[in-house]
Amino acid sequence: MASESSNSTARNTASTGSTSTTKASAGTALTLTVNGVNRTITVANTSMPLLWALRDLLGLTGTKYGCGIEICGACTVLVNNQPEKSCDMDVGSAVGKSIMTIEGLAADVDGQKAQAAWVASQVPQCGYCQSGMLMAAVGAMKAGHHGTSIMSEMSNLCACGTYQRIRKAVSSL
Amino acid sequence: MGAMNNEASEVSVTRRDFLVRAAAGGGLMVGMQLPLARLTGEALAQSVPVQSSVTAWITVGSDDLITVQIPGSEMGQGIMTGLSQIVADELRVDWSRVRARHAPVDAVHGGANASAWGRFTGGSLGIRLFSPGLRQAAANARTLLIQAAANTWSVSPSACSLVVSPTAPFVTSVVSGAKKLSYGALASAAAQLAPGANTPVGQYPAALVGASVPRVDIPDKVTGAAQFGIDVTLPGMVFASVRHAPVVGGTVSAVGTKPAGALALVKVGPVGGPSNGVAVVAATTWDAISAARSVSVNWTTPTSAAANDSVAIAARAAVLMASGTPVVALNNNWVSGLPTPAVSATYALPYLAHATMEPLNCTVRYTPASGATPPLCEVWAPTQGPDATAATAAALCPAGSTVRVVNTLLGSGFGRKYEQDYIREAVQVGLAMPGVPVKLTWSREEDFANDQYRPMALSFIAATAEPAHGRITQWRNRIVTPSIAVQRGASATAVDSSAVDGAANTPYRLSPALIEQVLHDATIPVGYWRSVGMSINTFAVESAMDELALSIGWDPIQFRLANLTDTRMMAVLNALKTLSAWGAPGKGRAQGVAIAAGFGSYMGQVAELSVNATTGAVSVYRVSTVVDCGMVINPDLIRAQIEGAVAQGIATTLYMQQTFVKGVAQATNFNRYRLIRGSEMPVVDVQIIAGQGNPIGGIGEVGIPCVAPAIANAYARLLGASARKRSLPFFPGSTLSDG
Repeated sequence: MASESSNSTARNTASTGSTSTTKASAGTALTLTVNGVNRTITVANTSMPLLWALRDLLGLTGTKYGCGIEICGACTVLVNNQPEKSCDMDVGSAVGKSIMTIEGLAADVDGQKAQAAWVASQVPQCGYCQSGMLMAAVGAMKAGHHGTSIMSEMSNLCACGTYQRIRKAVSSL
Repeated sequence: MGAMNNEASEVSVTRRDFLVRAAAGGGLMVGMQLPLARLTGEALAQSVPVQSSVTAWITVGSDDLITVQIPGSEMGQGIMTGLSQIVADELRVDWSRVRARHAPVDAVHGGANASAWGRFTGGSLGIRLFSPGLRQAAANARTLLIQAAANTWSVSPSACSLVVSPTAPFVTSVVSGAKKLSYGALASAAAQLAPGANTPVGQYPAALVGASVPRVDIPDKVTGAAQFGIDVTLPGMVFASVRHAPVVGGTVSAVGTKPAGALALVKVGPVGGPSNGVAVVAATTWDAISAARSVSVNWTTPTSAAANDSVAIAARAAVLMASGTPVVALNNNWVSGLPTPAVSATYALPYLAHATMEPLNCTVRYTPASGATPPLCEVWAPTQGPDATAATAAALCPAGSTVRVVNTLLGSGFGRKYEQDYIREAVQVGLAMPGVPVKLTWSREEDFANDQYRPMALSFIAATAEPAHGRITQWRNRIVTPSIAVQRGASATAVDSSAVDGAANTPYRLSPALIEQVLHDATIPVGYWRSVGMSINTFAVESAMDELALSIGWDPIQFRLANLTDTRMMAVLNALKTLSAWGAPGKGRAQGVAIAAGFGSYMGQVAELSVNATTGAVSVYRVSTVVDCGMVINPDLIRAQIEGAVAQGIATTLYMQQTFVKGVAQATNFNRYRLIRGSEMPVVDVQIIAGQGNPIGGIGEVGIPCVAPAIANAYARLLGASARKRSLPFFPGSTLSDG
């Protein structure tokens, strides 16, 4: 059983990393900081991947399920500004860290630049992998990469094959 | 720039209505009012524009935004954009005023009202199928808007004309003398008018058709707002996943108890047949996937398991090649007693999974009958066949049920999402959970292991060419392959045109020629994979063409030109020589060429590559492409389709295959079913030979078939004929690790 038990919009609410605290039969309450907002969820098992907490419990469906084994990168989010594949990251280990998803990109300076570059280069086809692509690109930008060196940081898969346009888009970043 | 309008429509149709009205077909219904609320916060905060359906396909808002109801499924190919361009030109509206959405799935927008093939998106047919009806609807809408203005002013429509404001917001208005009303101001009146005869189309010069306008679907695809099927979220929704029999054709014998945390166990499978899977319903998708893996199931293993083994399938193919009973697909002056062919070679291709980035999924909410209200089955699906989806649901639901289908965006399709298995399973689970919305998501492993694969094939070509004029003097091609059509009930003694596509209809002058097909009886399910038989047969034919050219010492392009008659195909090849700098590859590299004619289009590619002397790894640097797909709607959409097809084509050449051990699929994730990564992407040059006087050709699949033979031909040129790869993929054991 799992649910979102509250939806706090206070940005300064303390995190309650309660993985080691009371575990009621209904599950464990965890507070995640996602796109600058603290949100509390209840999970039966803190080893649930962050991906599914974001998608199924918090309704942030922009982060995508592709492979579940850290290969395709569709689930990429930023955790403390570093790209992480959320399909294989325990939700419990995300407590107390700053998580950014595709839904938060428009509020981020690097994110805005990347989104604009993606539109200018008309990158997406089906678009399913592009959330992860953008998060990986923004993570590389935050690590100090520019231009085509961003591309070499990105191992994400795209079945539509949009790589040529991604290369063009990142060349302006 | 256009933006996509994603809200679901709520037009209902009973099962009976659907069938009766769809069967009746008929013309476009005009004048139906669809009050569509805009759901964005911005719109709600201000006054909500009134939406008027001037025709069933064209909705005009009081804010002068035009919404095009798109009958085709958007899976990345850009169909929403291309069709909207055609509509916008007929309406004479600026691109910034245009929005697009999937049309409601109902009788008005389905069946023959949508196209000759109904709401089917595939076969590179989308814009060809849907544009005539949409163009006509747009012309009729324009006439009704003008008529509404004329009625308002008590003047003749002939006294009215259209103007587009030259500055933002670029609104289109009807004018007569000093009087002027915008489309938005006229829409509700126009929607009330009875439609007259069809208005002639094409009265205005193309403004947007032929231009690389920005795609309507991209803005939402960079913010996470785009709604794919897997993103459907409903109040009180629970989540399901499914575990299928591990052996192809296996069935459920017995199911153990419900695992902890599971809300329900539901057996799923073909209608009227034994169940072949068990779905688990749980509180999250992860719980459902985990529980589906742990649930105890006894499976019945079919007797076909031993035969559905890649080693056995290959051995059986060799036997069938030698001694199978062929069906003749083409006999062009074939005679016995011809000289021994100069070239004879056998080419092999594997089964391929579709590997759509969005795994199969479908959401269903089944509401039982209540009083006089019949049962309601609501289905949200990423589907290439929304009509078929409605029929699938209707067949499973109690008679008299109302069925509503919402077609979401597709996270790629490649032919897989025309199939109905995942829809059927979701409806079966939904029926078991009355009143509770359920989203069924296949795990990636289930997606790979339960595909309807591109068929394997073995193709033998024996041919001779003469050196004086470079002419092919005999050509025989026998193809051993499972048939999609036969697996779905077609006669095993008839030609399967898709199985011999690209072989029985090559662009070459072949005489005497004999093209034969031998049915492979493996029962691994096969299905339509982007370009279907064309990519299988083009690999064999275009590889053999290079082998023939070599046998008489001819340049591969000159040899092809010597055997072509179609001037459009020849123009593509001649342009390709220049674009690719043919004959002048970079140091340590070689070039290879391939051409194909199919889907109403002409295509040629030159791949330029090198091979690492130590590792044997292939690096493709450049793929030069010339395409003539007739009338061009949007050059940038064409380029995108070719660029993407090159990436997918490289993966099929080097890495991709599905194999089976005693009926069990071996590649169950992207680690063992390798796509290329960005670092492997070559430069793709695309030159479009525009033929605005020619019919629209297909483009979605056109970029695939030439990639593998162009790479194989370059590889053989670089490393010598004895190193030629006649079996795909080049590197069958290749894996990807996380990185």
